[in-house]
This record gives sequence, structure tokens and C-alpha cells, in this order.
Amino acid sequence: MRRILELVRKELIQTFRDKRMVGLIFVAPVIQLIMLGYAVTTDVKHIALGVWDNDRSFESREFVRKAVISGYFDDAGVVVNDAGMEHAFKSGRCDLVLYFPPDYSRNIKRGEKAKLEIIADGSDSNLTNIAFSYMAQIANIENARLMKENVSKMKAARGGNIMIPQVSPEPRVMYNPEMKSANYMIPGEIGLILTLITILLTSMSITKEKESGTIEQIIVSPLRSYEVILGKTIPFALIGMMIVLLIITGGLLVFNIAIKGNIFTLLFSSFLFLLNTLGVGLFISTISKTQQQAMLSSVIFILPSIMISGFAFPVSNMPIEVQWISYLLPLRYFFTIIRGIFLKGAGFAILWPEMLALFILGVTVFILAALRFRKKLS
Amino acid sequence: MQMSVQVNNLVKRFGSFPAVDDISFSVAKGEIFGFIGPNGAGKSTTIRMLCGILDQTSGVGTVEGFSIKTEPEKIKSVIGYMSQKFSLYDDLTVEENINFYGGIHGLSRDETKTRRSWILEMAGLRGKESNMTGALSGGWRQRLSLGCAIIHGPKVVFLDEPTAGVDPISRREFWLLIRGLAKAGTTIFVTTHYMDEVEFCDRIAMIYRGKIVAMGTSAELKTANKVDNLEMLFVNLIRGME
Amino acid sequence: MIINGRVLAIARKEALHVVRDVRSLIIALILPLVFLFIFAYAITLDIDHIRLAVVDHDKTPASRELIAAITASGYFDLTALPDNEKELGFGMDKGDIKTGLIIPPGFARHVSRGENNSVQILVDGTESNSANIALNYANAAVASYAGNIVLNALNKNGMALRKDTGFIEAGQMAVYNPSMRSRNFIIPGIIAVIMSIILAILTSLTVVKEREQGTLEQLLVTPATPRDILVGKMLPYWTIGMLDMLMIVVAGVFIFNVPLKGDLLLLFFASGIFAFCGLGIGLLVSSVSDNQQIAIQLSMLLSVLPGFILSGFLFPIKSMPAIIRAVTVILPAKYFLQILRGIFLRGSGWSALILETMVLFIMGVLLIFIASKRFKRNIG
Repeated sequence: MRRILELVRKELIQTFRDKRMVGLIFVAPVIQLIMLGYAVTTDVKHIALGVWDNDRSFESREFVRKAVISGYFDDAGVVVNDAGMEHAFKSGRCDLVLYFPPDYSRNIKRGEKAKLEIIADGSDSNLTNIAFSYMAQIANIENARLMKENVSKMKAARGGNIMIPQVSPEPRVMYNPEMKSANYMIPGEIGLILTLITILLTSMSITKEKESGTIEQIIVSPLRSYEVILGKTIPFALIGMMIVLLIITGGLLVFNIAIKGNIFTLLFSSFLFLLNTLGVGLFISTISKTQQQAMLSSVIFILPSIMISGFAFPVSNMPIEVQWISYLLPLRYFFTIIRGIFLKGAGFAILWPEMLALFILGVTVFILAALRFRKKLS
Repeated sequence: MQMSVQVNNLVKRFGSFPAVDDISFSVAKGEIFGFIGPNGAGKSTTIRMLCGILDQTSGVGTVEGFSIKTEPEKIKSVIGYMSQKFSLYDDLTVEENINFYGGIHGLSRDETKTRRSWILEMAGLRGKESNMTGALSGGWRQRLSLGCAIIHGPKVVFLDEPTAGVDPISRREFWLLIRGLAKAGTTIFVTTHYMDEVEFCDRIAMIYRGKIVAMGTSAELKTANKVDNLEMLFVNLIRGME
Repeated sequence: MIINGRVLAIARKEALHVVRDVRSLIIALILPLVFLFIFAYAITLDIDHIRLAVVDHDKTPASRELIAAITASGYFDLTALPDNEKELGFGMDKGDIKTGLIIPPGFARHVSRGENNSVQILVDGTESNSANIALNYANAAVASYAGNIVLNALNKNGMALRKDTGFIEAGQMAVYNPSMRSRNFIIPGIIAVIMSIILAILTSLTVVKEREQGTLEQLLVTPATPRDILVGKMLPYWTIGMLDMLMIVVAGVFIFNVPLKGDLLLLFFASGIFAFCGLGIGLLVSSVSDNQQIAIQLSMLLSVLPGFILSGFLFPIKSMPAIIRAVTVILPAKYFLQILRGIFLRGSGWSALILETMVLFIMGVLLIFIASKRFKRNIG
């Protein structure tokens, strides 16, 4: 026990002596917190709207006005025609052009179908999709209004009591009522940073000792191999836990994101998760000779697993084969757990299957890595 | 006599700590000049200033007539430098290391070829051209490192503790190589903390805490201080400073 | 002359390091393909198959008609019919259900009497993009159902002006990506992200490593100048970056059928310039870092985050707050992305993209200049 503490202390001293390293370990999460909270927004706003109006009527101008007051569209002040549209798109001045045919207002007045055309640049398919659906909604609202006008006109003409059924949707957004992207991204950052920092630090710190030859000193010392393993992982587990607390505090102070669930459940799950990342880091160190190899091997594990575990895009939107792969990735379970605790206030009753998965994966990975590490040591 | 290296009142301070404290000396062409002192005495700092990779705080110095302050780039083309780390690329073969150093010194393909076979001969590495450098033992690494440092036929060679961590037989062979170089007219500036190596030097300077505490030939120092052992002299000098 | 014998000697030596470390080389060349497959297969911004659960308290033909109208939109998969709200809530807590529809008791009766009637739509807002889209789809489906029953009622009374719903029909058309595949948008962007990451992390180690080994000092006493060293170190990694680019282009066009409409020469030219920006960042990191661990953490911070998040690769820059938008102005990846998308999707040529290309060029020169200044300073 004493010897493990000695190793842990040595490791912490080495890490913290280097002021820049300390800065990076603790400043990087804060920078990422701010970036993720502010910059990652899938909400699409300020879509630049151009108008190609061959009708030049009250109705067409009214439609454009409705689009602009919806808040999603900015009138780019571009009036185009067939020839100018391409340039407006290529120069990036417009994302979307509304085309009104010459008979637009006449058809509305006659109660016939009035066709307008929403023409998008389209290169950004997500933005285009969302822009289309916003425009369709504006058309829906206009339609409902016109229908109502139509009905009341009829009522006035016919008189009497006609039954007109109405069904209105009453939407309610759960867990994240303002639909802020930050609420999704910031709990996720805990998983992201823990993965990045602990895997890289563990694998590189061991290979560094290989490069500098100090690992031989450790081998000839009376340390047992499990002591070396614990001595090399506990410090990074501690640093990881500090980062978790840092992000929780930052999320609360900067973005006002409070944990709905229990913070100890969160810390306990983080610990289960750390078993996994430290195990992976340890494993990578056993297959790497240099720090560069350790780093690249870590990167090729970390980046894809962040992508398909649902950091930015939900796993449920992925093809089924990819979802199967994701069952092998601890990060998948950890993302579900932290978001469940942060946003839904979920606890053991709901999250136990994920926690169990983390535990089983973590223990397996850690033991396998430790066995391999021991074999390499002797 | 023509001077190869000339130093007057050279000072280097790191912050307020004087690593090299007002030293002056000169080295003649073809001379082996030994710089003796314990670790941290200022040996490496002096060498690095003379090689033009570290700026001095004050004082003047010239190497082959070029000022270390204003003409470090010119100095670099006339010197060779070998550090105590035997700086070679472990993941390159013997031959690739030689080719590389030939290339950065601007040797032509033919020149590199001639020098390569000379180095392989000198270092006893014939037949090991395509061995990985990382797998060589200490003595070979040391001689290959020397070969790479003098591939371009420099006029002055700076050797920073070139024999540290090498077995006695290799050390001896190494010194024979050095003497051969000096005989051919190359100036050798060498640092060491092995007192027995002093005998291979034409002249030595003892440095302690950034200051030169004694300078001369081995015989001169012995007679002037009435000792028959330079190690004793050095210990006495240091005691005198404490 | 930028390239002289010394530069070539250093480049050759650096290339040998790269070739010797087979595993690192393989990873550097495989990573782009891994990314390509992940972004082409796994990550799609097109959202469908939203898991829907319906609590139907009414259980009448009318309520079933409403359910059918929603599933017929094609965006929702009806996965459960829980008995009550509590059960639905549990499913949503677990994340099994993303959207819930609650039809109140007496729904059919209210409809037939023409009374105001509302159905509740619950959306899991955790991931706001999907939530937003699901909400839009559900709203639109209910709205069109509502329009239909109004129309039916009017028709029954012989009062309808028109035979179908809607006065205004909004046609939709995307000019440059008519199939609206998110792949076409994302795959060109991968080039920028991969080049940023690979080049920065590979080169960030090269100088630090030599400093740790002591070979840097050896190099510095030779006539090779800091500029020779930096340029020599860049050439092999530049080649790797261009190989990565080429692999993504070939795989993207031939395997994933991404249209490549524009000028190939411009594509290579701009990529070549961008590669120097990536190398400049890596070398700058390497020159200021004391050891390899710092270099890696720093280069990951400077390449991964800006590459994925700030460049506009996945998240539109125009939706970011002004201060973050101001930060993106100095990111080479942002301009390279605009060039890539212009070339791939819009078929833009030199005239349309000259400004972005110039900006990249200036940034590249500036970065390498700063890197070599820092490099010199750090030696002394």
C-alpha cells in the first residue's frame, strides 16, 4: 500500500510540476465547455432569404413578411431572377429563395391552389431540411388562416350553426424544454474529456518511461506488478475525477445547467467509466514502443468511438449494424447515464443496465490489460 | 602560432546565476585542448556558446576567426560537434545516419560516398552498414557519432564528454582516433571529467563554478603546483575555493 | 531557393522515420477511411424512424385514423402502445421512446361535435436537433389531419370551396444537392477535418522528439538553418496529408457517389496550401512544447475541436453567437471547408473561390513564419 502511494505521489508530482501540463489538463476542458456550450448549435437560425417575386402582390409580400417575423429567416434583401439566382447562391448571399409565380395572388383570391416554390442552395442538407420544414410550417399556418377565413365567410353566407371540427396539436418538449443544444453537449463533454485525457495520459506516461528507460528501474524494484499498474492508473483516475467536478461546476456557473439527478450516482458512474478508459490506456501502452505510437493508437480508438457512441448525434439515428458495434463501447453507456442523470433526473432504478454494462466491460478490459502489462513487464 | 579558438572574458548568466564566469583562453591549430571539471562547472555551456547555439551574456570569442556573436552561421560550416548523448537517429541504419549528416552539411553524393567509407573504416562498422543504430553498443555508437560529426572535414571539433559511459577499451581506441585527427591538423576541444584522459591532451584548463582555476600542459601544472597527480591538484584547488 | 540539399537531406531522413514506424504510418492512412465510413454510414443528419409511442385513451376509428395519419408521414416508427402516461414516461426516461402522442378520451365524440380538441405531443428534447425535427414532423402531420377533417365536414355540408386541403402549396427544390443527401455535404468536409487532425498531431511531435533525444542540438550546430529544418520536416508529412486527401476524394466519389462538379486542379491546389496551414500549426505546437505529452494535448486541443466544431463541418457557423463567429475567422479549416463544398457541390471555380484560397495562402505563410520564429527563440 505504501509503495503504491509512493508511485501515485511520484506520478502526481511529475504531472503537476509541469505548469503547462496542468494548464492544459484543466484549461482545455473549460475552453471546450465554452465552445460546446456556445458554438455547437444545431438550431438553425438566420437563414438568408432571397425573393424572386413574379407576382409582386400584397399576398406575396405578406408571405415573405410572415417568414421573416418567424425569426428563422433573415431577409437578405436580395431580389433575384432566373439569371441572378445562381450567383446569389454561389456567393453565399442566399441560402434560400422564395419564388412566386405570376398567378400566385390571383389563385389565392379565387380559392384555387396557389403554388410557390422554395428553392434552396442545398449543399448543407441539414440546414436545407430544417429550412424547408420551417417554410412548410409557415405555409401551414397561412393555410389554416385562409381556411378559417373561408369557413367564416361561408358561415356568414349560410347562417346557422355548422359544426366545424378542430384538432390542434399541443406540443410539449420534455427534459430540455428550451431545446438548448448546450443541455445535450455539456453533460456529454464529461465523457469526451475523460476519454481523451485519461487514455492519452495513461498510455503516453507509460511509453514515456519505456523511451527514457526508467521502466527498467521499476522492473528491478521490489514492486509487484499490480502495484505498478495501480500506481500508474490511480493518479489519472484522480485527475479524471477532478475534471468531472470542474465540468459540473462550469456547466452550472456558465450555462446554468444543474444536475437533476444525484451527483453521487454521477460520480460513481464516472468511476465505473474510468475503469474502462484506464484499461484501454494501459492496453495501448503494452502494444506501443514510442509515445507517438501510443498517441496514434489512442486517437484511432478515441475519435471513432466518440462519434458512434452518440456524442453529437444520437445512436438511435444510426444504422442497426453501427448500433451493434456501439454496444461494445463503454462511452455509449456512459453518455446515456450522464444525460439521464443530468437532464432526466434518472437514477439506479432506470440506469442500472447501463451501469452494469460499464462495470462488466470495465473489469474485463482492465483485467485483460493488466495481465498483458504484467507479461510485458517480466 | 595561429589560433583556432580565442576567448576573452566570456560570461554567460542564466538569470543571476553565472554558469560561465569571465573566462579567457585560446587554442592553437591542431592542438588537443582539454576542458576538465565536475558536472555543472560550465563546460557544456562554454561549448554551446562556441558552437553558436547559445548567446553569450558578454565577452568575445572567435572560432577560426569568426565571431561567435555575429557570425555563428559561418562558424557552423567549419566546426564539428559531438554531444555526450551521441545524437544519432536510433530508427535509422548506420548508413542512413551517415548519409543524412553528409546531406545537411551540403556534401555532394560522391563526397558523401568517400567520407562514408572512411567513417565506416575508422569506426570499425564495415559490414554493419544496414544495422539499426539503436541496436549498436556504446563504443560503436560513440565512433559513429564522431564520424557523423566530422563527416565534412571540420577545422575544429568540439567533443562534449565524448567518452561518458563507454568501456575502457573503447575509450582508448577513441582517444587514438582523436590524436590521429589532431595530427592531421584538426583542432580538438574536448570536455571530460575523467582525470586519466588528461594525459591525451596537449593542454588543459580546469574549470570550476564557471571559472578557470588552472591552465597549462599536464607537466607544467604538475611542476608549478608541486604535485605528481592532477586529481590531487584539482581537489586542492577546489578546497581552496570553498 | 526554399528547397536546397540540406532541406532534402532532412526530408529524406524524416521520411525514413515515417516509413520505419509502420504502425503510425498505417494509422495515418487508415484514419481517413475510418472517418469516411463513420460519417458516410453511421452519422446521418437525415432524421427518420423516430420511435413513437401512442397512448390512445379513445380507441375509436377516429383516433386510429389520427395515428395512421402520423405514421403515414413516413418519419415515425410506431414502436409501442402504452396503456397510460406513466408507462409512456418510463419509456421516455429510458430513452426507448423519442416521441409520444396522447389522444384524450372522448376524442372521436369531440371531433364529431365540432368541439375544440387537442392532442398532446411529447418530444424528448435531450438532443435538440432531432427533437426540433420530430416536433416539426408531428405538428405537420396533425395539421394536415386537422385540415382534412375540416374539409370533410365542409364537403358534407356542400360548403367547400375546394376539393383538397391547403390553398398554398409550397414546392421544394434543392439546387446543388437535389437528392438532399447529408453524405454529399459531409464527405467533402471530412477532407478538411482529417487533414487538420493528422497533420497537426503528426508534426507536433517531430521537433519535441528530437529535442528530447538531443539530436536537435546536433542539427543546430550544422549549417542547416531553422528554416531548412522546418521545411525539410514538412515535406514528408505534406505528402501524407495529400495522400489522405486523395483517398477521401477517390473513395467519396467512387464508393459513396459524392458528386465532384468543380475543378480538380483547384481542389489539389487548395488542399496543398491548406496542408501547409495544418503543418504550420503542428510545428508551432512542437516548437513551444517542452515534451511530447504537452505537444499532443495542445495539438489535439487546437485541431480536433476547431476541426469538428468551429469550422462549420457539422454545425452552421451562422447560428453561432457573434463572439464565437469572430473566433472562426482565424481558422484555416473554415475557409478550406468553403472551398471544398464549393468545388464538390456547386462546381465553383477559381473565380468564385479565389478569395478563400488567398486567405488560406496568407495564413499558411504566416503560420510557418511564426513557427520558425518561435523555433529559433526556443533554442536560445
